[in-house]
Amino acid sequence: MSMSEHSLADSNIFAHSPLESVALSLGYEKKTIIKSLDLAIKPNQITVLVGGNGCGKSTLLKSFARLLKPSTGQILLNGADIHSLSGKDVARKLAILPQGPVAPEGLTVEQLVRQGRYPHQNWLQSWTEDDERLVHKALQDTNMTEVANRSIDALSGGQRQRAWIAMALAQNTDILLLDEPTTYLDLTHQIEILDLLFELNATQKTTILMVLHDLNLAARYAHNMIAIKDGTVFCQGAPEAILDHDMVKAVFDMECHISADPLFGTPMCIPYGKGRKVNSQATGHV
Amino acid sequence: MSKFFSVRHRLFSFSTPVRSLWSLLILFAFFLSITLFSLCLGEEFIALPQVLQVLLSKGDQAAQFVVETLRLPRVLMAAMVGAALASSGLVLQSMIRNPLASPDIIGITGGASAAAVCFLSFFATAMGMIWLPVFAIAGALLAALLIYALAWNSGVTPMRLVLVGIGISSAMGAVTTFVIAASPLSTSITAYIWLTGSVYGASWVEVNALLPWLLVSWPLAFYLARRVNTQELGDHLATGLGVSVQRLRLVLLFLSVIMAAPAIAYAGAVGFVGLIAPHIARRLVARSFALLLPTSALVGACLVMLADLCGRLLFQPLDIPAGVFVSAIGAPFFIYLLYRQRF
Repeated sequence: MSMSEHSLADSNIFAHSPLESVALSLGYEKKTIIKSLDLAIKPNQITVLVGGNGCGKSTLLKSFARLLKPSTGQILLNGADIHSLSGKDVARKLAILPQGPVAPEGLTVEQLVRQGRYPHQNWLQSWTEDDERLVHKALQDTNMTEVANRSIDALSGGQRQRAWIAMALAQNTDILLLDEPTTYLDLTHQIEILDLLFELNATQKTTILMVLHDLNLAARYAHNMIAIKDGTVFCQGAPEAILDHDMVKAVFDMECHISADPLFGTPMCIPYGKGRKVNSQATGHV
Repeated sequence: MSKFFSVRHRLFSFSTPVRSLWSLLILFAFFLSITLFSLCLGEEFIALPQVLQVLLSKGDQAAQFVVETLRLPRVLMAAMVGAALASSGLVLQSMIRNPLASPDIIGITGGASAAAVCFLSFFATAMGMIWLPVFAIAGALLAALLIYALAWNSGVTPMRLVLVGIGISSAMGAVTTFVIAASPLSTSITAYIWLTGSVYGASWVEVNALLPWLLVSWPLAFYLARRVNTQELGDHLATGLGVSVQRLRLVLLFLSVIMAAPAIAYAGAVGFVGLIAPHIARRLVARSFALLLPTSALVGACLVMLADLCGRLLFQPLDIPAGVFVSAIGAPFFIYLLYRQRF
């Protein structure tokens, strides 16, 4: 394959990306967080952003959701500058679930999920058949139908997060962005939430972009992993291709051992450090 | 979802919880009975059939005068003032996402009061009392503008609005107290009664002056209802759903001023209704702005009407300003609601 064919193929992939950044710089006041970043999110895949605290991954996710204006550069949603589109236009194509959302006191699950229909409604048509069908479906898909009439404050952490995801599902978008959807959840509920998102991607081809802290879970669920370091992409690709000792060392400044997950075969990162050794053959940190 | 009442038509559709509709209906019946009750009671008791006859313009002349000229405008005024202040409080609480907001806490009432008291002390004799409402409304608008401008930091956040509002409120309070203290006694007394809030001597002139404000502000509030609901989920979620949060916040602040200021202008600084009526409403209907708005308005109306009824009846022949009794009735009822909810 010649060079020109190569770049043609590349630009083709680029054209199909539903969400991409072009020469994107982001910052708050004088502090620059993301510097001149070109990044294309792959369609119909689960992409996970990983990186240390304060590396800019949440900021990047926010800008992809039109919550933050770039200082320079652009975010393109299906090829159009996201800030040239109206808020409702964007909301019909892309849903965002920020980190740790708080529901107003006394709001029921169904009332919350119904709000996901906002971008599809108008003043006169505030409850069409589509609205009803999609709210039902979102409740069913998240297994929340039974608690639909319960108040959000009365739910457990896992159920609460599923209620918020149900709201994002009711929005019925092709792209779903989530900022640390598993934070504050116990392991059972983390898996439950990630399974739900995996299922959603498998059945409806939803493009999912999320920030996750747990590298091992990220490696298991992500088709594509993007490691962010100092406001720029350190590397990206399938987790089995990029997640290795050197990458973890560079991105997280941490020594680790990578082995294959015995259940899934995906890379598993075991950090070095202090701790008890209960097996004489265990090496601990080297 | 059998718990929702849905209407679907080619041109419009909506859906709302059934239970809330019943609560709203019962509340409306309660409101109507207080209205009629207030028309019957007073220095002279007029029986209900007679009141109804008057309302259908078939009563005798004496009763006609008492009901139509004295009591009805006063009762309507109390209802509108209560409804307006309650709606304003609801708008502010929803905008700020803080249940402790109300026009009296974030300085809107304070601005109106300071302007009104200045007017009473310096301009009233020269210009005539007819200008008092104009000053009060201008004062409230100015206070709101000041709050918004001072809270601005590439957009306003709810917390900054509340804090700046509380600051402005105390500053306005200081101005008010200073002017009252520096004024002659007779002016001070007038100012003090105005500050308590009263619908004493309300006539059709005031009713007709206040009504147009409500006819503008309520439809606007209903129009914004769905946006307000999404805004309550937080800035990021609301923006993600397609709402321009900053623009909405400015419109809501303006809306709360055009709801509260005219009511304060014509009835004085009736406190507490704006804070408590939305809370009571939230315990009666589901958490949806389009339901909370009429519910808060009715609760506010009932509160001020009852307060005025107490003021008229309890210490006859003295006529105590309604503002005094709003807290006296509202607070115990509110504590009762909170207490009941614990179980």
